[in-house]
Amino acid sequence: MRSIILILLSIIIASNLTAQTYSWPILPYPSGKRVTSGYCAYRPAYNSIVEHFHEGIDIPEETDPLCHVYPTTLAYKVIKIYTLGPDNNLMVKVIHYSDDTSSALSEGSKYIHLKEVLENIYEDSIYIGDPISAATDLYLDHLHFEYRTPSDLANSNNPFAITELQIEDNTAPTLCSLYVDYSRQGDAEVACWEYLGSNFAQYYGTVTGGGYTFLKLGLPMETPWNDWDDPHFIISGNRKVRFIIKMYDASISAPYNYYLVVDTAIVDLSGGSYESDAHYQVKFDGLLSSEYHREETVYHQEEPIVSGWNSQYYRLYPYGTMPSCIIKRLALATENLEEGQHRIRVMVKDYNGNTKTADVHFYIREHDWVDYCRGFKN
Amino acid sequence: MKRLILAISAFFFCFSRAEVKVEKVLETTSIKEYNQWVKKNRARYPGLRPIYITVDQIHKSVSENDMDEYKITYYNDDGRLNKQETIRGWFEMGIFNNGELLFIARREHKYYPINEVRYIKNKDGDILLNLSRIRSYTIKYWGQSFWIENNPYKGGPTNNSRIRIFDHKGNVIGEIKNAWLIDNVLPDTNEDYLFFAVEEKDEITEAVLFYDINNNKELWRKKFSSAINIAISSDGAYTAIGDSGKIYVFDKQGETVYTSQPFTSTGRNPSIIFSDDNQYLATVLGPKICFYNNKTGELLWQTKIDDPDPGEKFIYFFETNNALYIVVAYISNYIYILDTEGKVVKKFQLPFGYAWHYKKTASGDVIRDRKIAVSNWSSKFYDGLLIIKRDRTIIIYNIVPE
Repeated sequence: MRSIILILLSIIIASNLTAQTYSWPILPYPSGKRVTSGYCAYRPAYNSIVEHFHEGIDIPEETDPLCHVYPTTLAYKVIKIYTLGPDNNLMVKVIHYSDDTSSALSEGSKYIHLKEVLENIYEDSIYIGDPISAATDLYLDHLHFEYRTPSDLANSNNPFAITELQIEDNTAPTLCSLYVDYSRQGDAEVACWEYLGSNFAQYYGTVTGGGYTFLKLGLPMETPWNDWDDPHFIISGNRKVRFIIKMYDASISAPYNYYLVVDTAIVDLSGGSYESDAHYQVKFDGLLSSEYHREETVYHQEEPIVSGWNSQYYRLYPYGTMPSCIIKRLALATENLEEGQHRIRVMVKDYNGNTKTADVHFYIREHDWVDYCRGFKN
Repeated sequence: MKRLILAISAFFFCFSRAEVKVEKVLETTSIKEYNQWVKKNRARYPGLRPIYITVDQIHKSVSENDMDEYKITYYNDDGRLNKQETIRGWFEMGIFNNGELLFIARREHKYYPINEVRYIKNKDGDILLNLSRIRSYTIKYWGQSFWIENNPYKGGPTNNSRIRIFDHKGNVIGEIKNAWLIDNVLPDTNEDYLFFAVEEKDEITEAVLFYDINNNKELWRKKFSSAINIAISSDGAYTAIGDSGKIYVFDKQGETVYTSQPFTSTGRNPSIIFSDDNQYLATVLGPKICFYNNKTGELLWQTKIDDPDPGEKFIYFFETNNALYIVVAYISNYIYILDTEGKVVKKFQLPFGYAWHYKKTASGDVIRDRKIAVSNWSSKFYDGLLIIKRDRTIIIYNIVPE
């Protein structure tokens, strides 16, 4: 399953890293460190279960009978053993301790879908190096693992923030489309920008959902210094738009950490660098228990902007309700941009440093005429 | 006069002593053999139940595009095949209510509820209740006239967290607010009262609450900071909590009858049980077993058993020939039977052998640590019969006076 993220801009949370030694929760792992569902994957509502973000990672079981589930730190205290499911779908919640058990850390973890917990594991007891369960028998063939802070374990954190829990990921994220909201939160007129005999219609489309139509600009294969295969469009009228990026990480297990670079200056076509500090960043290091973790529903009440699962969904946040995982929100006030050609360079980098970029050009038009020459300013 | 008779009978009851012997009356992996033994002995042991339903996985998915496959078999009282069906998909399943009901959640995607159905089937394989229709995740407890839902995945506890109680047709007949995950729920014998241990909405506080099922009313609630063990007396007159080495006993109004701290190990929670007549309370934590006069709260005795791995598995009371016994099982697979003076009158071990226990080292390696008893078995206790089940193996022990 691919997880697709739509980023609407913002920023960071401090990770709670310690010098503690960590290890993969299933030991040994002859098939390697594998993950079948990533942190923050969106889970829709069904029955009485409310929609929520996946607060952990899913690790497929190992079939070697010697594999067991171990808490990720050497020493731990069992806080609670729950029965979740109808039979023995168990959850174990632990607090992490220093290796010598001299101090409790302000963190812990949850292990879900265990069919059994070893009989010598008790609540409120401290263990060093002991497994909590045989890993060969897990509900739905996987272990759901959560890394949580602080001492009450209220908040979930991205396990990949811990070096020892990171997995191999050499796949760059994929940038799909840039959506332009010009009629709901935006207020503008938009059009495809054909100039100098070029045809950019192949990248220019629309989608409608919830009574609103958005521009849907395709982001072609990356050719960083060729602007002629990038989408071009014109913003006019009140010139206020809202951009939404749709991307996904083809590595199903990739930890999420994307940032976007947006260059708001009048475009420099002389070949100068566009890279600057990230204007918008999504870094899924943690989800706070105090936040309302759900998608904005208004954007996807019906096709084609629809909430779903499997290969795609849209993660959109209404203004002012950003979860803490979205950091650094800088408003790109398109209505105040200087008339002329601008470019958005979307640069996305995942947790493991794999990058992808895409460009979109737009012309801010205040007057009835188009000053193409201003596109060549400077 | 009545009080005097009660006192005298209690005296003899308490101090009558008898040795016991433990007879293995059945060991089998055959459902047919087990059911026929149950049928043959039902008059003598009315609490025994046949096995009606079994679930076997016949295919394990090899990819996310693949699906698991299970064979469900329904048996009659004689252990003969009643019905068999094969189902394919991603499942959660469980057998409950003395083996007479089967919970099935089936969907076509490993993680997402695509074409999901959730229902209860009876022992004939017919759908009894559709949980999807009433938007309930699963069933925590099935009673004679009601059942209690369990919705552990609601996306986490919220301000609207609640537990609903339904009649057997799926109509809501009660609701408990500010309660999310049910850690444990115990009824009295007549199912007039329910004693819950629940997680409240913050998932940090544990609460116990006493619920009047006939009037659908929460009578009282008490909060505890961590996991606890609970017990209820057969008539619902007493409830008990084992928390961090302490025990607390309450009456129906939630008033404290007595408290005690019999265990120095303050971290773990003692297991507790009331005798059927409410006269006694027994509690165990590790090797130490304590016995109380439940009317006065007096600690009558405490003893420590000598066990190689004294992690307690269960504690039962059982009565035979006017003598009361306490049965305590440990993860060493040793089972101890004590009389009401604290004397171990029988000790025997279940035949499940030993296996290696592995440990993780500081460097992340896994090493063999020591051999421990294979104790992943479950037990039930009916009329002096101890029924042990591990995988397909069923062993029945009969505990009889010598």
